[in-house]
Amino acid sequence: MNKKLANFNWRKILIPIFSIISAFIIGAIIIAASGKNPLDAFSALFSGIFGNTYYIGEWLFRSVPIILTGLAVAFAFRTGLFNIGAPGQLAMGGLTAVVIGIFVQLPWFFHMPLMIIGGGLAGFLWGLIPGILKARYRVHEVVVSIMLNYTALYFVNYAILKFIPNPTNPAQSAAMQPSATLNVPGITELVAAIFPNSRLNFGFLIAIAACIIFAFIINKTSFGYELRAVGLNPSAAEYAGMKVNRNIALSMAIAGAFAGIAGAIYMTSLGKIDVEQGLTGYYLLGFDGIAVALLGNSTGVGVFLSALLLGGLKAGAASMQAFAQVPAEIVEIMSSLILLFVASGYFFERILDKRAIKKLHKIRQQKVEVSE
Amino acid sequence: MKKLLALTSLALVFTLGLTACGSTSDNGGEGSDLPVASVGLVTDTGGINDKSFNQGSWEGVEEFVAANEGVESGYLETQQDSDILPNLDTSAARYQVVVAPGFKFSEGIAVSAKQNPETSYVILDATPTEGDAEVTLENVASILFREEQAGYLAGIVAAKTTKSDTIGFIGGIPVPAVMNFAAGYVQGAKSVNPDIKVDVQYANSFTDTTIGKQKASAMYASGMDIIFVAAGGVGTGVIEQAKELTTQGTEAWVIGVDRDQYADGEYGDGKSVILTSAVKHVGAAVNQTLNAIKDGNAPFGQVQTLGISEDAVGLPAENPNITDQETLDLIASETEKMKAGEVTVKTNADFPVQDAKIY
Repeated sequence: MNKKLANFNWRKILIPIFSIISAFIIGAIIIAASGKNPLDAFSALFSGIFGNTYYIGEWLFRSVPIILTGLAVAFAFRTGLFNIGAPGQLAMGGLTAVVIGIFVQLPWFFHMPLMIIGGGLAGFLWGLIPGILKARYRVHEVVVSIMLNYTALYFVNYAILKFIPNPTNPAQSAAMQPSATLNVPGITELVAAIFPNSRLNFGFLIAIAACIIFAFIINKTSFGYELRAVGLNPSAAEYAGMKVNRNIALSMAIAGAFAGIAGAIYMTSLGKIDVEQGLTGYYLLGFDGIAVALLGNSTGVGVFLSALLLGGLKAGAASMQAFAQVPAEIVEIMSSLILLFVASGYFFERILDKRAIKKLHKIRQQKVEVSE
Repeated sequence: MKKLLALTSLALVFTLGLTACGSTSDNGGEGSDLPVASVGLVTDTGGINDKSFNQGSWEGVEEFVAANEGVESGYLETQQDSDILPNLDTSAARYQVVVAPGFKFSEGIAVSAKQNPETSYVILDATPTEGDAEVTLENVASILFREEQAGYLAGIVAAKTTKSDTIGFIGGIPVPAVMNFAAGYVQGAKSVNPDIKVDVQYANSFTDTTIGKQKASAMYASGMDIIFVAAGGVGTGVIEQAKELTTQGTEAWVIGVDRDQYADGEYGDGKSVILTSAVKHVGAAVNQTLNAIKDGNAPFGQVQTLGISEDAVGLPAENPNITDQETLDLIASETEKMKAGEVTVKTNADFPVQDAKIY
C-alpha cells in the first residue's frame, strides 16, 4: 500500500487543481474588471451550490447526466477514441426510455430497470455504428458521431411529434405511466426528507454505480486491459494477439451505453421529452461530458468529482446572477478556462518537471559535498 | 519558474486589491416598503435578446422599473429546459415578483409557486399545469393574448394585397398561441375574399431556419405571394427566402409576428419584405400587470385574456409597405368593430386550423 502511494503520480491531481484555482483567479479578475465584487459573486455562487439542502439536492441532480456522459467520453478516450457522439447517444437513450415509460405497464421495480436498460441499449447500438465503421473501414469516429448526433436529434423530434404526441401540449411528448419514475420506496422518502423540494432521485445512485462499473471494467478486467492497450498502441496490441477491431467497436458501443443511460435518467427525471431540446439540451450535456472526462483524466473517480464541480458551477450560476448581478456566463468562461488549462497541462507539467530536476540536482550536490 | 510565480502573485494581489475596493452589493429591495420592491424575469432557452417574447417581456419589466423608483430587477437566462424550475426557484428567493414568458414555464411555475407561496408569479402565454391539467394558484397571474385578432387583421391585409389569391401560413410547433394566429388569419382573409386559398403548414419547430426557408421556397414557387409566419426562429429562414426572391425580381411578402419585424426584412435602400406584422404587446402587458400588483388589484389566481380592446394585440402603427389607402381604412374600421364587439374572431378551439391543409 505504501509503495502504491509512493508511486502515485501526484501530477494527475495537481494539474486539475492548479487549473481550477487559476480559472477562479482569472474569473475573479474578469468579475472585478466589470466593476463587481468577486467575493460577493463567489459567495453567491457557492450559496447557490450548497447554501441549503434544496440547492445541494439540485446540484447533485444536475450532475447526474454529466457524470454519465463524462463516463461515455472517458471510456472511449481509454481506447484512444474520441466519442463526440454523446449527445446523440443520450437523445436515443432518452427517447427509448420515454417510449418504454409511455407504452409499457409494469410495477415500478421492473419498469425502472427496463427503462434504464432500454436507454443503455439504445445508446449502445447508436455508439456501435461509429465503432463498427471505425473498426472495419477506418472511417473517423468523430465525423460519424457528429453526423449521428444530428440524425438522432432530428429523429427524436420527429418521433415525439409522430409517435408519442401530447394531446394538450404539442411541444412535449405524452406523459409517462405513473410507475415510470426513478422513485424507489424508502430512498425517495429519505431524499425528500434530507433535500426537500429538490429533484434529486435514484438516478444519482445509478450514476455512482456506473462510475464503479467503469473503474472495474477498465482496471480489473482483461477486457479493460485490452482496451487500454489498444488505446496506448494499437499496433503493439495487435502484435500481442489482441482483437483490436473488436475492441474498438465494443469500446464505442459501451461508451454509447453510458450516454444512453444518462439520457434515460435525464428524461425519466423530467417525466417527458420536450421537442427541440437539441442544441440547448442534449448538446450541452454531451459536450459537458467531454470537459468532465478531460478534467477527470478519464478515470471513474475523476469523472465523478469533475462532474460534481462542473454541475456545481452551473447550478450556482443562477444564484450568482440573481444575488450578485454577475452574469451567469462567467461560469461558462471559468469552466472553459479549467478545460483549457487541463488540456494544456503539459505547461504545468514542465514547470513541475523542472522543479523536480532542480531538486535532484540539489540533492546530488549535497551528496557530493558530504562525500567530499 | 520565478517569472510564473511573480505573475501569479501579481494576479493574486490584483484580485485581492480589487476585491477590497469593490463595492458591497446592496440588497435594499428586501427591506423596502414598496408594494413591488423587486421584479425578476426568467427567460426560456431563447435568451434575453431573442427579439421576441423574452426581450419584449423584459422591456415591460424595465418600463415598470423606470417608472417606479427604487424597484430592483434582474433576469436569469435558461440554458436548458431542465433548468427552468431551479431558475424560477432562485428568482423566487431573490425577487418579490417573478415573470415567466412562454408556454415552456407552465409546469415549472406550478411547482415553483407552490414551493414559494410568498412570491408572486406572472406567466405569459400559458397557464400553470400539473400533469396535463390546468391548476389555479393564488400567487400566479396568467396572461393570454387574443392572437386570433392580430391574425385576423393580418389576414385582411394579405387578402387585400395578394395578386394570386393564394396565400400561405407557416406556423411553428402547433401550440395554442400559434394556432390562434392561424385561425384569425384564415378568417380575416376569407372576410375580404371568401374564395381565397390559404395554405397552412406547420414547421414543427421554433428554431430550424432551414425548414422555414424550404417551406417558404415551395410556397412562393407554387404561386403564393404572401406568407404569414408565426414560428420564432423559423421565420428567419422565411424572411431570408423572401429577400432572395425579391432581389431577383419576384414579388414575395412576409407577414411578421409578435413584434414589428419590418427591420428584420430590410434588404437595402430601407425597403423591407415585411408587409406588416401581427403584433403582441407583451411588454405593455407585463407593465400593466406589474402596476396592477403594485396597486393591489392583481389578477392572481386568474387567467386574463388580453386583446385588441386592451391594445395588447394588433398591427404596428406604421406599415410602410401597405400603400393602398382602402386597405388601411379597412384595418382601422375592422379594429374599431372588434373593439366594439361587432366582429368576433373565433379562436383555434372553435376554428381549428390544421397542418398541410388548404382553407
